Amino acid sequence: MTHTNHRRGSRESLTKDFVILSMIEPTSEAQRTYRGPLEGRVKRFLEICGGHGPVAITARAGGRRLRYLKGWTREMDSGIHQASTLEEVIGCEEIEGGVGHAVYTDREAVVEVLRKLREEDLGLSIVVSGVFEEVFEACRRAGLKPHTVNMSLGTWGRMELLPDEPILELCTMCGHAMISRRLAEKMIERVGSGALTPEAAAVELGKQCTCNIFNTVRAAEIIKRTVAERKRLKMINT
Amino acid sequence: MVYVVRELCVACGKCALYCPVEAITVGEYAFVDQERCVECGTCIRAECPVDALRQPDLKPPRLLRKLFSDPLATFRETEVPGRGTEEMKTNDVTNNVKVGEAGWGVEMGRPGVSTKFTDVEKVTMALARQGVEFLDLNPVTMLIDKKTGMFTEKNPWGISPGEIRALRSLSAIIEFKTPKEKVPEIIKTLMEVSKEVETVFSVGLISRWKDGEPELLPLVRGIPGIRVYPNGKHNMGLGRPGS
Ligand code: SF4
Ligand code: SF4
Repeated sequence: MTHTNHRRGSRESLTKDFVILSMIEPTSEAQRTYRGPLEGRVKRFLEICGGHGPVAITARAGGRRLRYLKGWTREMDSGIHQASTLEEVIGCEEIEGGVGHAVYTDREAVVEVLRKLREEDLGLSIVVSGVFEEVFEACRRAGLKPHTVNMSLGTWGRMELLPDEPILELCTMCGHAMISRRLAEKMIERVGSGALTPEAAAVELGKQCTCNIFNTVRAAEIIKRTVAERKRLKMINT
Repeated sequence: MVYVVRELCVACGKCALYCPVEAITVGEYAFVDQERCVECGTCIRAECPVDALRQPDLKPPRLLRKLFSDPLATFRETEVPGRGTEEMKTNDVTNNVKVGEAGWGVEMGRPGVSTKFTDVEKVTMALARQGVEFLDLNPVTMLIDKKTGMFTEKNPWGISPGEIRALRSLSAIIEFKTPKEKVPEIIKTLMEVSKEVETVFSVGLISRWKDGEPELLPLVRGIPGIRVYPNGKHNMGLGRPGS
């Protein structure tokens, strides 16, 4: 399970992309019971994350995933993909397990979340994905240092099978590869023709990421940039 | 297996648009290429406007496509997630990857290309020859003989190596450990085998934090052709118990 690793993009674009994950080791009874019931600790994690302007935040509760994703409103729901409000995620009851996550574009928010998590000592394993220097700086300011790091050495093999870079940037924001390249292409095309806003296109892509770790703010920027670039190259008619 | 009820399908193309591996083609009606389909469930979740898609309960070996490809599926028999172990996410509690060790995640088929299991076996065999320690609680490990890296019928589903080789999934993560001294050799092995596979794979290297940087970073920095991506994952060491 490495679903937040291997995100592609320029350093500049990736600098506005952080995922904070909470998890517990399923075999560790000590972590499950550390300082009180797990549910209360995960709830507190969600409250802390929710208080600092996440792009996305997710809870597992009552047999389903409650998903807040910036820009996603109920009219955009389809099938099992159903939007929750930020308040619904933070206020949810019947939390299951130790998993929760939140996505940010802003390092200052990450610093504040980490600082609070350190102070409150919830006994949850916390993982932050992002550009190394940015995360190290956030750690330093929050009074933390990383314990373990997972470095991406990139993708090897038949590279010609991969789509173009902007499509890859969009699709790799769902590490489980639930976002098809055809859909990403279609969304760029529809934004280019004026049929859809970049924000709405980003939500349609983000809905497919069932873990809800897709960054719609970054995606809208990638889409805008790609549409402008393709118009410049006359790949899209104006 | 996912199939289309032809009498209902109005050939709108929606399912084909959402399928991550382009397994669906649409002519007079939609058609699912069963060899390419990895049973990920994305087309079902995309909601066909006339409810023409079906995914009946799957049995092994077909079931394994789903377990490896659909993040909402779980390996009920083994309680092992299809996408591998908790990797470094709880390493602050488990201490699975220690100082002086390298943890590896070689994710076959990622990003979004998918992989045949014949390619998975090529890589596990190459790694087995290097004497790596394949991690338990990983679904690929459950299908192989850890000494040779070859598929074995001694797996929780009792399916044959031939049936395993015929599988395809969106991804299959090979997780293993080595002493840190083996890092350059493993990279060389992966570079060599990357020329033999018909897919792509993404490589993650897990390292403890030591002396102000990832312990293994100096080891990989100088290797020709290797680029460490600017972004990665950081376990913050806040999990406490057992650490
Ligand atoms: S979404 Fe439904 S109606 Fe449309 S092509 Fe697919 S199966 Fe046919
Ligand atoms: S289950 Fe997945 S791979 Fe198979 S047709 Fe549907 S979307 Fe494509």
